[in-house]
This record gives sequence, C-alpha cells and structure tokens, in this order.
Amino acid sequence: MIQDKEKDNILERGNLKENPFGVPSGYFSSMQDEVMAKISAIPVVPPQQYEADEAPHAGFMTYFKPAFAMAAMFGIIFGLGYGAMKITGTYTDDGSVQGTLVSANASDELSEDEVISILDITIEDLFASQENSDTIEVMEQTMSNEDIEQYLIDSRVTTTSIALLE
Amino acid sequence: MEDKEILEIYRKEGKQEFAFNLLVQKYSERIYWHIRKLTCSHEDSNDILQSSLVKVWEHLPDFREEAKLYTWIYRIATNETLTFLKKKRLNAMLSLSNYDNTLANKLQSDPSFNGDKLQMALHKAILHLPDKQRAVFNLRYFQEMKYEEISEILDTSVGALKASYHHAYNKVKTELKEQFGD
Repeated sequence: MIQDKEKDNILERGNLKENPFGVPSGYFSSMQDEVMAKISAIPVVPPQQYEADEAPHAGFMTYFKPAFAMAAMFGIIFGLGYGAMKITGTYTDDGSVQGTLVSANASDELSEDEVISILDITIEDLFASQENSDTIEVMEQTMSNEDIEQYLIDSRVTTTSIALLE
Repeated sequence: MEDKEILEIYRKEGKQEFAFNLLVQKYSERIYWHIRKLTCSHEDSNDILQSSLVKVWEHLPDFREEAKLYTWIYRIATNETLTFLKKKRLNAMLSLSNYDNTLANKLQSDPSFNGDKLQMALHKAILHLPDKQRAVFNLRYFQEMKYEEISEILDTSVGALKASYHHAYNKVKTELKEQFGD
C-alpha cells in the first residue's frame, strides 16, 4: 500500500533523481590542473600536528571561567543597585530610610559659610540695598512687641506658623 | 582512498600538494554538481568551485577532524555558493530585476541540459525555493545525504532540516502535480 503510494508520488518517478546537466568534455581534468596551479602559488603552511583526541588540554580556567563571569556579573549588578540606593537615600547601613544624600548630609558636612561661598553670595549681598538696611534699623528701633503682634495679626499669620518660627 | 589516509599523507612533510590533489580528484566532481544545481550556470559553478578548493587548501592546516573532511569541504563550497547567490540577488535588486527569473532563464537556455520535460519542470520548481532550502533539498533529494551530515554542512539542527526538507518536498511536488497531474 505504502509502496503503491510511493510509486504514485511524482517526485519518486523514474529518472527524476538523475543528473540532467552536462559539462564541456575534459572539464574536470583541466579544472583540477587549474586548481593545482593556483594552490602551488600559495605558500605551504605546515599542518597542525595534533589529532582529534589530542585537543589542547582544558585547564582550570576553562571550567571555572563561566562561574567567575557569572559571579562578577552578580557583583556588578549588586554594586550598581547598592550604589543607586545609597545615592537616592532609600537605604542606610542601619536599615532606616532617610532623605536624599544631598539633603541628609549637606547640613552635616557644610557650614553656613561654606553654603554661602558655594552660592557665591555674601551677607552684604543679602542686604545690599541701603534702603533695606535702613528699614531694618528703623524697625528695630521703633517697633514695640505690641506693634509686632498687631503686624502679625494684620498679616494673618497663624499661631502655628509663629510656633514653628520659634 | 579514505579521507583519513589522505590526511595522514597530507601531514607528512613535502606531501601536502600530493595529498590535496587526491582530495581534489575525490571530491571536485561531487562538489561541482552541488554548486551547479544551485547556480544553474557552468561558468559560475566553475568559479565558485575553484575558489572553494583554494579555501580548502588555505584552511586545511587548521582542520582538526572535529567534523568529517567531506562535510567540511561541502560546508566551504555551500557557504561560497550561498554568498555568491546573495551578492547576485542584491545586485539584481539594485538594478530592479529579479534574480529568480535570471536563474530560470539560465536553466531554460542551458545547452548542456539533457533532461526531459519533467526534469526541467522539477529543476524550475526547485528554483522557486529560498536558496538555503534549495541547498537542503538538493543535498537530501539528489545526493541522499543523511540529515546529520547536512546538519554539519549547513550548521542547522536536524529537526529544522527535516521540517525544511518536508516543506520544500511538498512545495515542489505540488508544483509538479499542477503541471503534470497525478
């Protein structure tokens, strides 16, 4: 049954697998001569003297290199993650959460003078205007506690704000 | 002579050219027909065959018998041919022509083609397959190579080759059936 089916298959018919192409007479011998002439112009490289079963010995590094590479990769990923968390302040050594590195450490590490020098301004700059300095001086001289309270009431400053200022 | 014996001769000092000549005598004809069925041109096949054999000579000192010698030679020749076809297709595309038609015309007008109508139809149908699939089909159908050997030549898994051949076989069969009936 299967054999009948095979016979019916057009691709399994008679001469289909035979080679229908031809070549000029004497082609193969002349081609071989041409190839030999070509390769004789190429310098002979001495063949490698190893057999298939004498493949170079696989050393310690051959087996452990992938493991080292994977460990290094995990190390890099962990380092990057740790560094990122340190910078964003989401992780501290004691496990508590703090603000950003800048806000957390700036007050510890920088004095007021340094901040001002970084901002490139001076106290004089803050009070550069003569008018402002005069006003402050006059206020200091003339305002009593009642005046200040009245001023704050007029400005609608809440008691909470005042408490926070203190 | 067995490949192993040829390689043993090749490894003896001063015998390289002699051993290579034995290889050329043994394989050049088979390789030529493999290339010829892919290119449909004697001139192109001759050029590719010669450049492939020169490559075999250049790389034979590095051959480490991890593969069979003849599949290694086939691999070089097949890669050369597929690269050649790729270049031709690119050139044809740039000149707004179709390289499939060029191949079909070469086959149709080949004075050395001695086959009948069915053989001509078969080879035309094979030309409709993609280049790599044509290589799979030719190696399996005409040369009756084992899938394991084709796998070494084309660096493709046996499973993928089986699927590719099955697909190509049905495609060619359908095309022939359409022309010649059952």
